[in-house]
Amino acid sequence: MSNLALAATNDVVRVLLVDDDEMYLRVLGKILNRDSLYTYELFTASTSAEALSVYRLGHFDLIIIDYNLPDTTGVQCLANMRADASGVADTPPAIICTANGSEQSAIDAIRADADDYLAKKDIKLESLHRSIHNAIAKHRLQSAAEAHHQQINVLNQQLERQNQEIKQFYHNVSHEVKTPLAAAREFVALVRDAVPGPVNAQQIEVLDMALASCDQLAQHFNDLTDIARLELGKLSLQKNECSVRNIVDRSVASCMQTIRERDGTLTITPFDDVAIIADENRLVQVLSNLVSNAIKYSSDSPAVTISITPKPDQVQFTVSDQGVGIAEQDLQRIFNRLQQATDTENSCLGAGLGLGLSIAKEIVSLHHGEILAESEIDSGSTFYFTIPVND
Amino acid sequence: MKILLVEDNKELSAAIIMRLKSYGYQTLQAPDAVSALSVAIKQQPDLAIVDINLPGGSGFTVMDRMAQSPECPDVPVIVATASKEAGLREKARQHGASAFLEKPFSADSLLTAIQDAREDFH
Repeated sequence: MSNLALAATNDVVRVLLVDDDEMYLRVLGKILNRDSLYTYELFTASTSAEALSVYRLGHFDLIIIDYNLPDTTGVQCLANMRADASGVADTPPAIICTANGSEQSAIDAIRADADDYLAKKDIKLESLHRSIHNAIAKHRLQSAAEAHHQQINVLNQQLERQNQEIKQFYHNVSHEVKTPLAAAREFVALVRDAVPGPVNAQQIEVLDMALASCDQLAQHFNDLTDIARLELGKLSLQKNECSVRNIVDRSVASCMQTIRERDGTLTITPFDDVAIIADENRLVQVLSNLVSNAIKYSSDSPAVTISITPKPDQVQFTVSDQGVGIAEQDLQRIFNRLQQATDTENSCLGAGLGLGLSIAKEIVSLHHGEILAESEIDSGSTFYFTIPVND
Repeated sequence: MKILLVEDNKELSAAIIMRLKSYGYQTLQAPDAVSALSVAIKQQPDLAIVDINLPGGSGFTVMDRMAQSPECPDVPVIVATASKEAGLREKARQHGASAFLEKPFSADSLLTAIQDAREDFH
């Protein structure tokens, strides 16, 4: 922005001088002509009415107004110009000159949004130059700040719009994929359930794997939608009073098939049920994720334990396994988004989008709880998360 | 029992109809919001499974119109959707849905939803 130069020499400054005293106008003109910083182009008016019509004619960089005008005060004259919508949008800075520099006129001048006021009797070349330079510099800074502010606003709006588009995009992709996926899954299930005709045991086994793949695919798309919402801060919890036992039972039920397939065992340490205020579906999602990870990252016959520990004002959920474990350097990063996807060397992190744990962490954080992991290579991992009882 | 399926995806519609028939249900189909209402009026189903994103109006519009139309039978409705939009279940409830199915869904959850919807309705 070239107009930001605060003191470029030979800048032409268009000044509107409003005073009914012609002698004084001439004195002002002479003072201005001796300024080495700017070159002035002067326009004069002797009444408030005339000032307004001159003001409407073009752009001014500065207005200098006498406080005492024949038809009204300089303050009122300035207010009229400021209020004049037909004038330029960028209202120029103004200096009001008072005959005696009384306090009341100074207060009026400031109220009228004048940039400075000067007592005529005290006006000297330097003081007027300084006042003008200050007013112009201040005005240019303000204009620059305003322009920046507008640019930021525009950028903000663009970002907001892009955010919305991304969210909508994820949403659309997820929706568009899941509908045909639902059809494919159901056709496979129909064949598997022998609706169109008989199938043998071996075929059923194969079709079950196809169904599991469909479910995995659906889960990945749900994770993608969740992560998009989390990043936009749009994922909100639907909190209600819910039973911890219910959360555990539902999570176990959703993992039961995988446990059976892997010939694993799942132990739930006996506990007394606790009621908490939380989003039940989301906590089932977190606990299921931890349990299915525990199974996934165990070698033969996984043994997974779930324990519930009531603590003051919160409940701790613990999921432990005796699986392959997580190296210390990875332990810091497993809750990061896309960790798995980017960490191809580490075979123990296996397949998947790597979104599960970062979603789990976000859901726990939204509940104002905490999640952490402890692990040792080859002896297993333990994941803990706490949820406040009453949030 | 006659079940009306309002679903615009042809394949999914065919699959669900095949499943419903395998359970011995009579089935009716409508691929959009407009035909859903006319089929419901002409064929008088006992239950409806309604998708949300439909051509010619949302599934919620279908539910509202069915509820407002005196010629339309007052039946339990299951909302079936692939959308994960927040608050959708609640919205479905507000529009009178008796059960909610998230696509893709298993045959078991379809059966459970039908049972739940019938129980919830009576």
